[in-house]
Amino acid sequence: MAQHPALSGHSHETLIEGSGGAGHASYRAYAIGFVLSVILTVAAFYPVMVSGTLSAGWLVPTIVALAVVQVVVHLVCFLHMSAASEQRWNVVALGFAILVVGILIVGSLWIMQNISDNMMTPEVPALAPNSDQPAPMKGM
Amino acid sequence: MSPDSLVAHHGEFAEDHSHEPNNVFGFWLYLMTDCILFATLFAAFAVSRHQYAGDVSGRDIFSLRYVGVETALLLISSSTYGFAMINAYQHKLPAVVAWLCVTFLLGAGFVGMEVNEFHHLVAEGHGPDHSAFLSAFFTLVGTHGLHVTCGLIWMLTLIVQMTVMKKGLSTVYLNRLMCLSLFWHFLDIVWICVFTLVYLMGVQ
Repeated sequence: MAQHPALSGHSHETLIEGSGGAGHASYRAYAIGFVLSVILTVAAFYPVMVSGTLSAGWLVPTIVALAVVQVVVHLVCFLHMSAASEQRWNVVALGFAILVVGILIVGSLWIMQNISDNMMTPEVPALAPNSDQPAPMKGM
Repeated sequence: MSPDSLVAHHGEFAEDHSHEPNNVFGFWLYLMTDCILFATLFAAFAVSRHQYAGDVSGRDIFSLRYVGVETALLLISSSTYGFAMINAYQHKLPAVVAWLCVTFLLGAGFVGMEVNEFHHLVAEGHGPDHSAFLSAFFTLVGTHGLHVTCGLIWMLTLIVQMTVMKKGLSTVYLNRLMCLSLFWHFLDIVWICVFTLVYLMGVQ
């Protein structure tokens, strides 16, 4: 199939602007996204691999925060999400997906923690690696 | 843009006022459901990540150096796919194919490393049937690897169709390339969550 007459000769900006989160593609956006991702990934790996850079209490919140920031960087720089009106339905769908994902994950952890607290712990208290984690449950 | 081309343009995109091909939006909706699929696997992993049943924990089996290389491969492949898309918009078919091939090799390297990791774990007697932690680990990381493999097959199919079958960079193929681009970047986003929750938090 030959190139569509309407499409040849136009820049990508007019061509597929705002479609499916893939408009405004440019080397600049990908370069910024790549550099930020490398920085955020190294920042997440470094304190875990080199012990002593962060106290144990700060480690998990830090790497989770870095992951959230990197997901946002990918959405903006690679998937080109924006507040533009052409993007509205993409963003609405994404927002709903995030809501469902949040309910799923937070709900699962909440329920399982509750079960563990109420039913499972008395069986194998001695095996708990430390007090703030649920005890290992064999055969679960 | 001439009036003729404007009409043709809109016809091609099913009269969508935002110039958005509906199939790309449909694919975006599929990705959102895929997101929920991964969320269930992440939830399963999160509740069973300390259930070792006397077998190994993450600290014993994970090598962060190895995971770092996997992460680098996937991140670089995301960028090279982006370069392929930029060239696709400019109708430079040879450059598109070249960048897609680079992306394919990087993705294949990632899948190869993951298969190697799984093979070593099973060979050392830490298969998915040994503890809830290992089951959840193999399911979550394996599902991601399966998605990447599907993406690679899709990429190879598009390369063959555009070159050997001489389909070129028509509107249809631009849309297909864009759907795959969304898929590929989405898998990179899922991998960020995987290396954070499974590997970085697993070696604590």
